[in-house]
Amino acid sequence: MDDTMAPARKSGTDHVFRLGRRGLSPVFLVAVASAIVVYLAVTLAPGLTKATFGFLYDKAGWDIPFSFLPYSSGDPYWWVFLVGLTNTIGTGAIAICTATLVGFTAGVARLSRNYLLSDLARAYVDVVRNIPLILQAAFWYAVVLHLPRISSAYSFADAVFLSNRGLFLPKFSDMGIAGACVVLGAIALWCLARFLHTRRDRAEQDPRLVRRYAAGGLSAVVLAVLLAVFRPDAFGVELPARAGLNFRGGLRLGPEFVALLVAITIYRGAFIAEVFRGGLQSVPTGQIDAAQSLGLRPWMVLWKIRLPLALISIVPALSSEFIIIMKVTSIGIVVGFWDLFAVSSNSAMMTGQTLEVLFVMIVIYIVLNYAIVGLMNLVNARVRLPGNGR
Amino acid sequence: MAASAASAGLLATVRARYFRNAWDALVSSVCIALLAYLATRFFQWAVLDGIWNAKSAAECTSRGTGACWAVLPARWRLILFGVYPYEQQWRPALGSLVLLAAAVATCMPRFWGLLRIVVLWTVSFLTFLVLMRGGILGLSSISTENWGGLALTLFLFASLMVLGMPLATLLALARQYGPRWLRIAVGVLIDLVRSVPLIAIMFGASLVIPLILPGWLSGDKLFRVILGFATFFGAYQAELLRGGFQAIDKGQIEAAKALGMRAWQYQITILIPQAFRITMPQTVNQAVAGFKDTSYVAIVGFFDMTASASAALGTGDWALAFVEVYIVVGLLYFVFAYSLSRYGAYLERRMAAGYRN
Repeated sequence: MDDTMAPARKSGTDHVFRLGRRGLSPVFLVAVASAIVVYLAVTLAPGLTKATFGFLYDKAGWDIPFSFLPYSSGDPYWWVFLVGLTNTIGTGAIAICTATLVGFTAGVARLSRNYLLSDLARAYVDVVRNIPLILQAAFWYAVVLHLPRISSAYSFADAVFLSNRGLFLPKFSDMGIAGACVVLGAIALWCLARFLHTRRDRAEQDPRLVRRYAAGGLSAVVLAVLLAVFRPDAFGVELPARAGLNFRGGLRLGPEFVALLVAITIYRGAFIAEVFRGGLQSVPTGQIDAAQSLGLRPWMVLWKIRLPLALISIVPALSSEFIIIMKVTSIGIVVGFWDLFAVSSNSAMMTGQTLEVLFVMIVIYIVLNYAIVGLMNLVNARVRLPGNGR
Repeated sequence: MAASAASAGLLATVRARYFRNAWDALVSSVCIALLAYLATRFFQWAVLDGIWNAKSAAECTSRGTGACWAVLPARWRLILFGVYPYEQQWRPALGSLVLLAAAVATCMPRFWGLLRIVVLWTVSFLTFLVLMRGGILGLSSISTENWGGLALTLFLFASLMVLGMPLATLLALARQYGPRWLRIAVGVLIDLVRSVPLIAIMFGASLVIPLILPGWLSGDKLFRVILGFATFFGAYQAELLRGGFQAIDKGQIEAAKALGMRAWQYQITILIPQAFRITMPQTVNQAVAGFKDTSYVAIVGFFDMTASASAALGTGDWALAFVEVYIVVGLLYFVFAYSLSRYGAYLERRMAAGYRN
């Protein structure tokens, strides 16, 4: 690309803004740009010289009803930002999982040979994609608030309760968290180790690596069994139980969080459905015919042939969907969910240090953005076929 | 004979489409049963039991379990025009019609020319502004704080297109053909804007612009929010257009130069029209997204259709009729957004037939 452009650039007439033969030269543009910079510096200087981030250590003094990190109104502002960031990341990560699940299901249903299924999936995508997310979030929030009171909450197997105070789920007891962390951590490490080696590496890998994986997996299993035998309470689960006008124990997800999660899942799920549909459709039919002629069952054709091939084109599109979901949690402010944006906008109001707060917020968002891009690039490197282009 | 052959064909089609095998038959039956149940329930709720005349939602619930459509006669003006003075509401009505007519005209191929589009939108946009704002021609002056409802939503969308499209074109040209330092600067700007949520940009624009620009330029809050919105839209649209520019054969630029055309001449007559043409399907998608994103202004305190929907419920009388109001407002958004995306699909077909790259 750049090779073909280089000679054209030397001839010097296809630059934008170069009106006529001499016209607007780069020198002139540099002059304009520096004038703007100088103007900005002069107008913003009074604010910027006073810009101090000392407020980050002041007490915030306001409440955040739902947070993944512990928070009390006496905490300083830097902790407020951290709480907002973890609320954004936590909600975003959960929404990414649920929306991908919904999107995958709808995308596959859309390609079903059963016309009813594919038309239903299409209707879902068409309706949901053409109504603003904010309206949908407001709607789901109203729905949750109009659910029955706690005294007559919907109950599922007496373990999960849904009421106008939110969703009540079972959770691990304090010891249970430790046990679950050990097991989940071992599984996560094992997955990560496997994941970091591309297919080509595994084909050429030495048996020592295989043994190391096996040892890791085995020790996790042994650990889990030992824990289960000697400390059964390490897997203790705590159910929410009615106590007067409220529930005691268990995990409470407030109406704000539930409404936001449902809205984002349904809305972005429709977009992800289109990503999966496009990707699955892009797999050459010859591959599918070949798989079928080998006698693979339909689900195996989908799972072993179609999806892995489709992932090559799905993952880049999916990664931009994930970034959108992370950013779109910012509409939580509509339903009173405190994410990074809501926290920042309130901090700006309370401290009056608008520029500083905006600066902190924008930097955090940019870092978050590039973190997801980096992660998804890893995934992208993993799904590519070895030796298949680029 | 013919009838039975047709019905046999129909039966075969139904069988092939819905009952290929036992699994399909099961799925289809469950879906049909579920759909039938939902449809009858909805029909019962919305039509048979629907209540059209009541003083409040409480009266509706006391009279039955049907839909409380009575909220619509009571609140439709609020949803369409927001808090615009009641006796002046013919002005947003007329203005919205002008904008709609301009939008419909833009979709017709006979208006696809730079000059025509510019004249069309300048005229209709100014008409809308004069009607809404008043202050001249004997119209009373009405500040933007009182604009609202569907009229505000349409205005936001129109100004997004009028400001955002030229901005996107400039950004894309600069990033593709500009000198190196400009390409880098625009690239950084676009990446920065794209990594921050829209609401943060609107919020930032409404607060930061007064600090940067002198008072006479920073305008009122609506203007600043629209500027931020257009920048956001422009950053995304510019990336699409850049793809379009990249797809244009360099030979065309060389041919234009050989004919003695200057940069601005071939940019306007050759590059820009083709870039829009190549990226038309994505551009329409972007426009649909922009239309839905107008609802973000509700967060920074404006009274667009989404905020009006909440306000229509907020008075307490109608809070229980939230499903009805959200259905109607959702339907309004859907009609606009869906016809726009259908139009995009039509364009895609039309171009696939007649265009070779």
